[in-house]
Amino acid sequence: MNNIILKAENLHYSYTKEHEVLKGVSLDIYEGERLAILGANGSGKSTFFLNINGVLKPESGAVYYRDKLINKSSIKELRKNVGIVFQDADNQIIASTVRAEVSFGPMNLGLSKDEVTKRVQDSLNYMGISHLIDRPPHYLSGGEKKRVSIADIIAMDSEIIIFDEPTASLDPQNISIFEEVLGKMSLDNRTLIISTHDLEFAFRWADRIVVFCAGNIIADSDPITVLANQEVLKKANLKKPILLEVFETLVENSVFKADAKPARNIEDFRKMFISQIS
Amino acid sequence: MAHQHGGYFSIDLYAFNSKLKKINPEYKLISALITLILTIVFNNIFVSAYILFLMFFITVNLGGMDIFEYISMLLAPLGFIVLASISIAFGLSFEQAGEFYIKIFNIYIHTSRIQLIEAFELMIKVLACVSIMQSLILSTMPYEIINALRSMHVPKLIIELMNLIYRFIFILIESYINMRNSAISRLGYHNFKSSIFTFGNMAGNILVVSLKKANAYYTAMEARCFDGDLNFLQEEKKLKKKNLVLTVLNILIMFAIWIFTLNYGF
Repeated sequence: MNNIILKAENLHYSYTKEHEVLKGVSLDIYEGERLAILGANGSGKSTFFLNINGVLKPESGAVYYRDKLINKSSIKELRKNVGIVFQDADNQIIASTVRAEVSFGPMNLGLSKDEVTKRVQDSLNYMGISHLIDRPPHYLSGGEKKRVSIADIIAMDSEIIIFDEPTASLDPQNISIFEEVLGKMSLDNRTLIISTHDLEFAFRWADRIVVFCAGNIIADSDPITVLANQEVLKKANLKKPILLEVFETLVENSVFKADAKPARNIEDFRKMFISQIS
Repeated sequence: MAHQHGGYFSIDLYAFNSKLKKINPEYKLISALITLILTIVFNNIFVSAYILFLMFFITVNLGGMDIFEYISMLLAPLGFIVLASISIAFGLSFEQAGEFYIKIFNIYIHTSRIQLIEAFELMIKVLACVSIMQSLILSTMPYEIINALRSMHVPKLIIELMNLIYRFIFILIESYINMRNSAISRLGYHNFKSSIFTFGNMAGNILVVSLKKANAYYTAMEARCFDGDLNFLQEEKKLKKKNLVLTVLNILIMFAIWIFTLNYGF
């Protein structure tokens, strides 16, 4: 296993006195891993993200970045290294051109102008939107805005990138572009955390799945273990991915052996199935 | 009038499509301001007329804007200018006064040749001044103007407010359009009473939305290491010598027109 890059220890957080949103969340995040976070709306995912990015300060509990406890003086370090791509790109884009928008993070890091210019260029290239550099954000389509909001974070060169429900408002074409970008980022050994309601996506993409339920973590394991666990699924109101459902039906009917490992994407499944029946 | 984009009018699309976009914005702002001040100071109808034509030439011929759109753009403020000029051209009195007058009941509405000429000159002057500002805004994106103001040392607070207001205008317009569409689809405007009711609700909601959005924005800005200063990278546009020469030439022409027509008046 890789090194722990970020460690959250027993985080408590509440917006109002009556309702505690995080009720003691502990989570280790490993370098370079692909972590999917599942859970119903209001289960505390977004609040957790803001806590580990340093925007919100936990009422109790601690956040460690590379074994270093985060306090007031090191909070900028945390924000620099943990980037959040917010759910609604319109709530993130603040500048009046794509160039200015992407430069906002690097400028805040106090980099030189040349370095900022280079980073803006590079991150726009990374997202394949260099041609939009002079565009005002209000003349972009939804998918383009999303890509700009991701370029925002890439320009900051964060080691951990958090995506808060990134696929919620994207069409299928933009989702596949997004998945390509995720693949590219994984190759660059960035740590990726994605909260999503798309179980099929989480099942095929993630190395590890964490399930939030009412401010607690109720499951933390590899995708197959988590999504095959009826109790967890019921508690968090999740539905088993269809691929896993089909696989289990085939095991029940002795098409696959009982100890066979479930396929996590359709290509693997096809290979497995064809080799079994022919 | 303006282009329709995503359901709303937006004047800054003209600047985005203008051929004069590439020119250094600081230069454009300063030369527009100098021209504006000179036009006001000279207070000369020939200078004003020259500026009016010059701005037309700059925006339509050099900027590549559609001539009819330019005229309709200029007609929008004309209504206000005419209304304002009427109050200068005409006076009210209970006694007979002025060179020409109309008597309605006991009130005389009167005017004179000098008053009419004065009003006409004023109208041309104001129209010229408006056209200077319009040709600036039709060739320069608002954020470039804001940035040019920043480099002219306008206080940072004002600059940052301008930046955020400009961005927020579009966000609020979008929220408004969404709300209006959903209100229309639920018959929110089917009669006068319901229209007023819907409008009131929407105004209140927009306020709440703007507060919520402001909050979400602040969070997103903090997440990107915001520490109190809004700094953005701007594209650098080189100032060309040719442009400077043209501005100086323009100022000289204005002076020349002023001097030659100094003794000429109505």
